[in-house]
Amino acid sequence: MRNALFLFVLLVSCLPAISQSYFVVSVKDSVMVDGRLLQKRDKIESDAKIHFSSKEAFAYVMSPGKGYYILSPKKMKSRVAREFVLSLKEALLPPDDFYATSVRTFSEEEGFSFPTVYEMQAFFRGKVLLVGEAAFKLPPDAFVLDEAHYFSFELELSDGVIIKRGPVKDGNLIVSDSLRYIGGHVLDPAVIKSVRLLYRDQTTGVAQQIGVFQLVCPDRQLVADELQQLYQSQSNARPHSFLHDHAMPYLQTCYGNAHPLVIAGIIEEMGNQ
Amino acid sequence: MIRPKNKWIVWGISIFNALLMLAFSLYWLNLPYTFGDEAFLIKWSSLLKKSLLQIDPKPNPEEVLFVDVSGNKAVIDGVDEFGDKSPYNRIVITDREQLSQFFSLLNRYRHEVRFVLCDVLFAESSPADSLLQVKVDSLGDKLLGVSHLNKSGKHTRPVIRMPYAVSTYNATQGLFLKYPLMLSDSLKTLPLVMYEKLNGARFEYQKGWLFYQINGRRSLHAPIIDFKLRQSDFKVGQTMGEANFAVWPMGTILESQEFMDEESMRAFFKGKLVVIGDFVNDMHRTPFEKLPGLVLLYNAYLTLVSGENALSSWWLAFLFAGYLLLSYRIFFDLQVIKPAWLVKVSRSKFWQAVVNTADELTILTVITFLSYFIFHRHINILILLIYLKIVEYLWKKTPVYLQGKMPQMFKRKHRVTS
Repeated sequence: MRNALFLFVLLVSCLPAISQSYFVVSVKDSVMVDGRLLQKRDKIESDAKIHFSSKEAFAYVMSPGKGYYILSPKKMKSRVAREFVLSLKEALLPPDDFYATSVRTFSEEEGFSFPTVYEMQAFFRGKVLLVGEAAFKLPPDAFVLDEAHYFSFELELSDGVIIKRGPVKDGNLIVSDSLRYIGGHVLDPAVIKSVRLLYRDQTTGVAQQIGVFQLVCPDRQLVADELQQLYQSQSNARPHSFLHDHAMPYLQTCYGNAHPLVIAGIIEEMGNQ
Repeated sequence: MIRPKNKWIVWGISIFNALLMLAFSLYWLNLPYTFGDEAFLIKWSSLLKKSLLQIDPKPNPEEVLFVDVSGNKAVIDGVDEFGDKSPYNRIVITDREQLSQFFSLLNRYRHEVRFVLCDVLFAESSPADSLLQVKVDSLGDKLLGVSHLNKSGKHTRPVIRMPYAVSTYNATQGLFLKYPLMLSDSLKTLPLVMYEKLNGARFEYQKGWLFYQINGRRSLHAPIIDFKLRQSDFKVGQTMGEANFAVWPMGTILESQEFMDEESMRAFFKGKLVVIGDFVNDMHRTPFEKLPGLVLLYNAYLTLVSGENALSSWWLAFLFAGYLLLSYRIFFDLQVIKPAWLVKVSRSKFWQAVVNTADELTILTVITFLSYFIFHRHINILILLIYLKIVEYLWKKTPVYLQGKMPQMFKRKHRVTS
């Protein structure tokens, strides 16, 4: 990198008497240790010489028994010193939040929402059916979403891992076929061994795992045909309850967890035809 | 003004009142809960001392390992209305398979670990219990689990056989301030049991005793907890070598076995008090901020370790002196000169009462701050203000006061009435 600013931090000066090992949790930009590029889970000895490729670069490391550290050319602000000022500010301007006085339940009009993180974790595991763009309403107040906090999908292939940022729009996590687009090509679902959904905090490098799942991407028309057959076989099926009474349990068994609104869309298309 | 011949009587009344106030203070401090309004003074005296003046001694971060199980959940069938297990009733519990794996790790470093506190209530049975039971048995006396006591006195014990203690506190309006050392006169709470096990403390109590005895010293029943460890202490270090308080996800420690060498794995546990709990879902309201339950337990334990539950003679003498000053002020009708501008704000009786209360409130606030700054003990003080105002009101109706205040009128009145 032509304009890369190489910063050098010599850690020997702040060494404790006993040698301590550090393990890399995450890295931002390029961080070199003794001439090699730092990777997750790498071990760093306390006498290592660390080079950062930019001012923004950092390595988030852990030391068993000592805690977590951020190795960065920038100095971060201490939270302890701000405790009094923050309390004073809160006393003068108390935090103001909205609290709902009712419980939301699913209806086709209001979309698909996760009331808590647990429902989200329960959905994104096992097999997940993807037959069109699906918007998942995120649990309220559970995630901070800004430049430094985001969702990412890690697609594990047989020859490596592809990381894609999970787009969020109006508080909805969007999962679509673009997840499989790599450099103008569409990955065959069979190539994707598993998908890991993570919530990342770029400042600390901490990644919270939401779930690991297998992506199932059948042809939309194939799913529509199967649902058509299912509908015809269920002579007692009422059109408005078909989605929850028949379609969702069937798709759950055959393909995995599905987004009800997407399936409702397919059923609507069936009706129009 | 008090007449000279009555002075000794009034001194006697003042001393008696100061002793009464001291008795009230100790009684209120002995209650398992405290008044929510006290939180304001407790919070700001703590913040002033700890954050602004930086008088904030901390325990050694290298002595404790906080393990977070909030990311290790499993779902089991719950019990329906008919009392049967039903797949339509789901309960989220801590994943006991993963907990077993972690306990295996603890067993591997059993001799390195100082003690294990598992702040996870095993209230329901799960398919992985037999596996967990084996690991728990191997840890033996080094492990302490928890039980809960609900409002109706029902004691929920763990379904896993293990040493346990009650992990329940009383609170007004859900605000945590105090941790009782015993509940229902017979159940020792977890901080006390930890203190006994880890520090070899000797606890004595018999029904009817006013105070507990710990290591031969009198102790309050439910000390106000000093928040030595707060959320702001859990931080990411920037200087390698210095130790910081950290919350370790249990999954991270388990996964570390795959890439860490033996020496590094040992460093996790060497000499550590391992505290296992939920840092996300088990949150409690405190004067500072919401804190995880296991941090409250740890702070309560630290309060016992630093002896801040004990009744020190100097502290009692200080309180007595403070209360005597307040009593002297009332009974000798000592008027503090108030700024004229303050008195002139309003002529209403209400405002005059507020102005007259201000100096007592100031003295009480100074007493609570000094008690905390010098003796490291918070006290219930605002409730005393109400007591003082009642005493003052009643005193001004007594013949001794009236005789001193308006001797001539009193004499005339006395003659007429007699």
